[in-house]
Amino acid sequence: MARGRALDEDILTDSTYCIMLILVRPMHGYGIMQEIEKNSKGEMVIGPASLYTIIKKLQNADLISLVEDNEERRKTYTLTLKGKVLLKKDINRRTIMVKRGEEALKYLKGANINGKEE
Amino acid sequence: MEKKNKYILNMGLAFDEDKVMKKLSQMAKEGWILERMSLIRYKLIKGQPRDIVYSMDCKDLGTDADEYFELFQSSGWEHVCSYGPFHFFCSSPETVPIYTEKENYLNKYKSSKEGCKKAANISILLLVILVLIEFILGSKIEGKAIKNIMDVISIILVIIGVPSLMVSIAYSLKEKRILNKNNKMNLK
Repeated sequence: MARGRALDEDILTDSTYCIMLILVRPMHGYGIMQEIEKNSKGEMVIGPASLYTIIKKLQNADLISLVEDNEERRKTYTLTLKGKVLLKKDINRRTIMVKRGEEALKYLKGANINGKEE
Repeated sequence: MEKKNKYILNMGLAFDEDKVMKKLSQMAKEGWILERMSLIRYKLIKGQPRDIVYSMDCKDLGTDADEYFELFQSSGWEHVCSYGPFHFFCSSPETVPIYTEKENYLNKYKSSKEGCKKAANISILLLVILVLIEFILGSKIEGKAIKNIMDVISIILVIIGVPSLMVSIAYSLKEKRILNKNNKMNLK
């Protein structure tokens, strides 16, 4: 059931979303962790147990797959076609939410300048 | 001669995981380092005092063990020991926790909880059937041997059923506690 609620309804959790963003390019587990730390300036951290579990779930749901790479000893993953479709959908969803947020923010700022509460 | 080993009784991780993790961390400060876990106890050996915290994960690894342990290693979590699907790790207190989101943290116990639930359900069902048989046919059952066999089976079922039931209840309570804690956190 748990794997997901998030995956079945096509809505990704923040952690899953960030991992999938990185896997537009082939990457191994540790690389994903480093990228998340680098890109989110510490806003998003992901622990090894969470990362491992999410990778396995994505793999079972056929959203990512192993990349054959003889030079790289570690297991390398990348998005499948199905994964790309789902990710695009979620990026759109999030973009709309951010736009709404920006509109609300403008309103909030306006209210502040006029010194109005409520 | 000074003692080299210390033991902590294993009361079942379903009941006392948080307490054991704290206790192990406290012991490490005094130089008692976890070496391995067994069904009945944790073995600690004397070493240098260390300021570390412990975390346990529960996972059936299969062929992915290398990848799993490497991820922990590279994020600062040292693998201490494993016992079946239970894996113990330690790290310095500032390290990012092994679970950073709620969904999968909750699922950590899922497979062992399901197993216990199944064992509890099956043994209680069989026990009820057995009691019913004894109740309905009690007077008609001839011979002591059959009655004795039925008694032995009931005892075995109780031995399996009661602990399984307790463990699955403990897991359910733990799940509720984690959910409550998170809800409070979200309100802040």
